[in-house]
Amino acid sequence: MNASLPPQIVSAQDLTVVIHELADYTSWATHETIKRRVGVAGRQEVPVISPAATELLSTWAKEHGNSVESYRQLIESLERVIASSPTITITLAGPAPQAVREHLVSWCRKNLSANVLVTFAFNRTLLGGMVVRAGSRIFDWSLRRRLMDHGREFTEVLARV
Amino acid sequence: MDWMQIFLLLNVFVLGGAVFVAIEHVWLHFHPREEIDPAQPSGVHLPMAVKERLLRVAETDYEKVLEDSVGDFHGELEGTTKEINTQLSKLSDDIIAEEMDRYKKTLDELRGQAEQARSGAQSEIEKHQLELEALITERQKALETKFVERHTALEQQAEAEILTMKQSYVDRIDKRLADAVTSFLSETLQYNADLGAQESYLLSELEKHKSELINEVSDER
Repeated sequence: MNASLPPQIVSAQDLTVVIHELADYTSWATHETIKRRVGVAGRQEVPVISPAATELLSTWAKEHGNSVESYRQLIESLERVIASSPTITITLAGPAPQAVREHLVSWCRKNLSANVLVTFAFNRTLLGGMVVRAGSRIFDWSLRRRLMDHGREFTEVLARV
Repeated sequence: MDWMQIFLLLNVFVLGGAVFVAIEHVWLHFHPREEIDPAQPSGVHLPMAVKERLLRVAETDYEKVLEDSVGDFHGELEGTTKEINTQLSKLSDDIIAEEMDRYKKTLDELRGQAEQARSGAQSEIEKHQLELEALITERQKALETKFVERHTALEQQAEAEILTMKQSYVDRIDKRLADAVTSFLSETLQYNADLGAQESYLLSELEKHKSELINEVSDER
């Protein structure tokens, strides 16, 4: 059983961070469970986890129960996702807003693969558009590439002007 | 055998006859022969004095006849010699004239042959000269044709090279211009790239190349 990734978790780095957060949370939950069993008073502060990790954890708990063992299974499932999921890299002309990132990732997970991991990068020289690296291929749909490919037309337009 | 040789042979024959007569006279003088006249009786006896007188008269007559004969012979011999000399002179003149004529004729023939040879050589030279001129003209035309062809080829090559260079310059100018405009846009837009406005474009590009992306992702997985 594999966990389905929420749109907030887009890249392998994001997933790694979430796994670390979940590991801290699981460790905290384990300590709390042991203290509860042995009757130790006092309670440690709950680790702060990101909304993406919270959503992932709640979704997982609904299906697999709210236990430490279930949390460990979730972590193992996420590690399997990192190891086995395809990765694509999208380079944009600037740092992408969260909404744009989420929309792009949602499209990728809907059309390409459910657990595809997307790494975002930015390169100002692209001017616009994007460069997508998937597998062994690089798709350059940037404005810079368009200008370079249509340099002659561009100069003709300038000449007409 | 021409007439001169016949004349010489005739002279030799006459001279031989004269020499024969002279020798016969000399022989009869020194070897007298008694003529026996059968009509006269052999028993006539003359006195000695008459006989001696007759003998002297006969000797005298004989000597006179002999002297006359020698004189005649001498005269004829002189005439013959003169005639022979004259004829020889004439013959020599004729021979010389004939030889001169033959020599002149030969010279004329040789001159004619030489002239003919010279004319032939001249005509050969003229013919060869004409052939050489024709050859030179032909070579000149061939060279001119080759020169024109080479000139045309060089012109075409130069035009092609100029056109290629011009196109290269145009391409370089276009590329430089495109680079300049791209750099300008890059400098201008580097902080103003509105990715939010590009979202629909980005999604449409992804949608356009969906199948290729699916293939790549499937291969990776």
